[in-house]
Amino acid sequence: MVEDENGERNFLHDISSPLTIALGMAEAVMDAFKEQPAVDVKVLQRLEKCITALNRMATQIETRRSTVKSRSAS
Amino acid sequence: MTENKDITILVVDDEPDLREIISLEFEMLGWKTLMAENGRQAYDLIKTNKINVVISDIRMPGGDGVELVDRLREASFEVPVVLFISGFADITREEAYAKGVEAIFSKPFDRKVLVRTVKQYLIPLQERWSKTPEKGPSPTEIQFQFESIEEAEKKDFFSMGRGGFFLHLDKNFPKQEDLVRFSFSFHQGIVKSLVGVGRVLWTRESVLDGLITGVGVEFLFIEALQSTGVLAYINTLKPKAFIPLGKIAA
Repeated sequence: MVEDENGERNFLHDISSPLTIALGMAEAVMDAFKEQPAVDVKVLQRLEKCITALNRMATQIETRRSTVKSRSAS
Repeated sequence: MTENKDITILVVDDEPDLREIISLEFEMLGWKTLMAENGRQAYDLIKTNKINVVISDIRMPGGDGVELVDRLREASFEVPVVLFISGFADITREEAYAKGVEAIFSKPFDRKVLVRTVKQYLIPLQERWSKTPEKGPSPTEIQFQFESIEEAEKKDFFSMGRGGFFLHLDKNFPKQEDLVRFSFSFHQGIVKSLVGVGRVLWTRESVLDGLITGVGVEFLFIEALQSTGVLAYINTLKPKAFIPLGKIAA
């Protein structure tokens, strides 16, 4: 049981950095695109979808992290 | 606040892409950024450069973030503002604040909020704590009278750090992130009164790891700051903790 919990903690830790990188880079590209005069709207929409999907993953990780924390506190 | 071009930020993370994405935000503000891939490298850079803020990961091979703040606590040179960014830390928020860390972010974090927070901590205390907070929901009221701050600390009721205080409570705990209106009066000692508004950073509602129950509150606003003795207390005693952890239960 403790091993499972450690495994989950490690997983949540290890998945957080690549997700932060993916989200941060996608947002940085979006910021750069917004300053360009002519960017295909469809490209922007696809990038927006990518950011939305990454944010959904971030929310799921945050929820899971809270669950693990409250489980280990009880 | 210092001119943008004079602000240096140190980003510490073992992932180069993560260092890049954090640095980018601050470079856009015209700040100088330095990078380190672990706590030991960061310590050497802090020792030899004028760094205003350190944003550090916690778990890193070759010297983690906790080791870095522990070493900084012992340092004789001026210590910068330290913020932690963590995936899933082996240290609790309470412990991090007690070690002197000003703010903790979970990965992934909102980059705009990170920038806003860093800017906030660069405002000198005198200015930061003199601004009346914006009107929000009615804060919880906390009122206590103590003989002196030293006496209150000795009796484990209250202790003050660089950024706020620990208060022993055994019931009516406010929630994390709640605003509290506090009013402490001290009959003698360096701090005469402490009246203002703070934000609850953590609550401990049962004895945990041997530590007494209570709350950790960050100062947001202090009334008549100049005459309270708070700045004198911080400048004289130089508490290492941002928010103290509270004492071991008897």
